[in-house]
Amino acid sequence: MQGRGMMEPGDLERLVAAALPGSTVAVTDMTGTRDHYEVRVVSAAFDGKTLIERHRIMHRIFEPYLNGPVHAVKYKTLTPAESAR
Amino acid sequence: MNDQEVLQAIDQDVKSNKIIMFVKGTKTMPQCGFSAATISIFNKLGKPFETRDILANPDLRRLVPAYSDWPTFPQVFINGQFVGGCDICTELFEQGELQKLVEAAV
Repeated sequence: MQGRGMMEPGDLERLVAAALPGSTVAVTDMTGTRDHYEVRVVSAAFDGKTLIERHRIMHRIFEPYLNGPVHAVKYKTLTPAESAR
Repeated sequence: MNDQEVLQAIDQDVKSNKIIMFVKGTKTMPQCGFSAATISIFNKLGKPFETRDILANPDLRRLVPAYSDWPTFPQVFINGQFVGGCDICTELFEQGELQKLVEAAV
């Protein structure tokens, strides 16, 4: 995917699914320009982690694409228990 | 100052201020929407906090991300701990968790 001009929401969802098996991912194109995304992830990998720790996990996934096809990503990170509330 | 000295100065600053944030611009004249939003949240919390302007200090702009291992600004530290940027502070504030962190710190 790297080096392509654009990343579709499905591309981002596949990256997260590969990095966090068993997670639920929903990607929203915030601007309609395929470069500002909101990524909502529900994953047991976030259990017991602070928000910054969760965002670090997400950032590691997208870092290779930031400053490239993806300009900005906003994260919404929930544990399965939090998403059930 | 060399990089090591700048990192030590950052560490000293973070550890000697209960609430400190590295932002673009100043409290009264923020130069970025995310910095402005973060400052606004802490104004609402009503506890004293320090800001450092990374636009006025290129060393901070370059080395605070190395210090925190986080790439973007603003960056908020409470009680010496890196909390996060605008998104995280906003979410913690809406959950009522930021208030708890601040109360525990100040």
